[in-house]
Amino acid sequence: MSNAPILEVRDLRVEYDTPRGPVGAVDGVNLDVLPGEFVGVVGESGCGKSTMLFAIAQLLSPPASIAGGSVVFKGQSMVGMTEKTLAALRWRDYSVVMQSAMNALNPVTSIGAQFRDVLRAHGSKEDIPQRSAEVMRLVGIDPVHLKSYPHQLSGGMRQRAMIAMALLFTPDLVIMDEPTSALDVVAQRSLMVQIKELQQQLGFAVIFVTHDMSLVSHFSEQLLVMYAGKVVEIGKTRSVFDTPAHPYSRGLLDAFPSIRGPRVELLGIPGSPPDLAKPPTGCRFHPRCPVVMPECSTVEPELYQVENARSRCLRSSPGFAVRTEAPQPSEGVIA
Amino acid sequence: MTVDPSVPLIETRGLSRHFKIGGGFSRRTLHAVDDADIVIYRKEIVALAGESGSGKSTVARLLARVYKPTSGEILYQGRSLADITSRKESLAYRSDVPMVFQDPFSSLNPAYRVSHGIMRGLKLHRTELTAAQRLEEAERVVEAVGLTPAADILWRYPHELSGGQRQRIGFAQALAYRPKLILADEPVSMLDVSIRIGLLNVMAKMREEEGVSFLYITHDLASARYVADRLMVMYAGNVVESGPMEDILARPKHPYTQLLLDTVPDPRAPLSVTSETDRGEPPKVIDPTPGCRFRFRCPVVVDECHQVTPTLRLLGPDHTAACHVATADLPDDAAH
Repeated sequence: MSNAPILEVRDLRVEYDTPRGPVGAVDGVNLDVLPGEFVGVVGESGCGKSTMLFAIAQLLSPPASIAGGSVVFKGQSMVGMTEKTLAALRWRDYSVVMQSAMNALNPVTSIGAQFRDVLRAHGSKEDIPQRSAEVMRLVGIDPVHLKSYPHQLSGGMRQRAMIAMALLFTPDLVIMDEPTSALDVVAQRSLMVQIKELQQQLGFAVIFVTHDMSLVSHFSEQLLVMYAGKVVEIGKTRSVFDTPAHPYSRGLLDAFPSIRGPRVELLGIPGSPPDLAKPPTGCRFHPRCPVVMPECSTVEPELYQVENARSRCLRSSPGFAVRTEAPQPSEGVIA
Repeated sequence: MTVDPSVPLIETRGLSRHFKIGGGFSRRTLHAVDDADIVIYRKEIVALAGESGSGKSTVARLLARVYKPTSGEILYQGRSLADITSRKESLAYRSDVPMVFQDPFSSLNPAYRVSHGIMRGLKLHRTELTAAQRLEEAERVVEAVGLTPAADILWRYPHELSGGQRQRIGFAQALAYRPKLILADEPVSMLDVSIRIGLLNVMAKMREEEGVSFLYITHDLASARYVADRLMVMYAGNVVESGPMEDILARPKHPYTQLLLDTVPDPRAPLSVTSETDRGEPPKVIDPTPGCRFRFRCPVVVDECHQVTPTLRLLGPDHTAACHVATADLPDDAAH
């Protein structure tokens, strides 16, 4: 396995065209995905995480469009690529698993027929029934269900079938948009373990988007925390979990009640994400930040290096520790 | 009605609900809930946990009188619901035991301002109020669920509110009836993780300040632990374990409870990805034969499980489980 990234995203910006002018949903995202790597992307609803995935997969449709930056996948620039060239890459080199399998599968055709469509449309030379059965076995569903219609399967099985479909051509990159959000915890857990196992077995890279940070804690290598269209923290998953540098990451982490340890009152993150049409000045998180400082509303922070991660917070800036004796912010969200 | 605190607010005895499935000549029945004994006291938050398809929502609908029980009875403040027949009394029960739904995006009428649902409830259930008092009360409940400024929020349309705000409106609607027990059917599972805690805190506050009991239906044991006093675990239509929250978490008796506990993601816990993950799903219970319904997924199954249906046994103080294999607490453990 070489160490050159298979996906390089540079300064990616996506805008939605609205009657009130363009709204920036994704603003200057940089991301490298190595072969076989599991990248988690977390953030609240409306932070631009799904839009970013769609931009990477070249699935944006008006009013959304890529306003700048580049997406290079296996050495090819994806931005501005024609549909015809994209069709050769889709499913074969990268595939997308959509958010709710309930809606993503066609309710009036059988699972097998949908697999067949994909294989035919992308010119498979293989024996179609055999390959379909193979991927079904991979995800732990009995191939007899190729004859089943989506409503005959449980939610967990439908979601697995979606993943099986994404693996028909054994792509190098699988992009997953909250594949587990419609499932209960037991099905969620078993699906996560399954994805991880398949990934180790087949060696594809995963970009996994979720609003539930705890879900990726044990599965991803790299973690990207997004807020209001910007990356606020990026780094090794373990390091972000153990020592979250950005107050937003810390807030997300502290939003979970724990099943062990003392029962503490939690506050979550009060307030809601900003309107992207008129984002706050300075740091976009400052109106909700528990450790806000006066300069946060005027100075726009960059991504500063802190140990194994980079954080977009003025408190992480190299000059900050020198200027002031830092107050301990870690208690800010626990009452 | 005089209130005797020793009488449970709501109690079910052998509550069952079966559904006929298949075509007109089919004799097959789906056992959604079988023989459930549920007790909820005043000012108590009881969590009902289980996977999709375990029958927990059916329990809520039975308690809300959406379904009639196939057998068994529901006692509300000591009185059987089957005896409540007059419109006046049914209305009174509905306002005492309202429901909050899972999906805040489809449970509010998008064509009306959010005040509409709250005001209608007040008009129907609290006829003593004048129009001005109704408005005042609507503002009070909206503020009670943490939405300010209430006067402004009331005149908005649902699409102008975020998911968390809409779900708060759902709670405000229920609160407007001066309820005794709110049936909350997965009220936070559709919301972002960062918003959930806020709603759970609203539930805790409503219990504290308004004295409301809750039946909190969820599949997430961590959130159940955060708000609830007692826990009931359902599997395939049966209550398999019931007891004080902390007690069950510390000493789970039923292997299914153990399985649920193991699946809770805990970012603070050290990394441990075991391949020994359960891949099963709860069965659809159609015309069941005797035997434990969990036996096909159970890691500690014994012969007896295939022949005899386990019943709830007392295995610790106030802690019951329906399992042949589970053992009671040691005497010194159970002493207090």
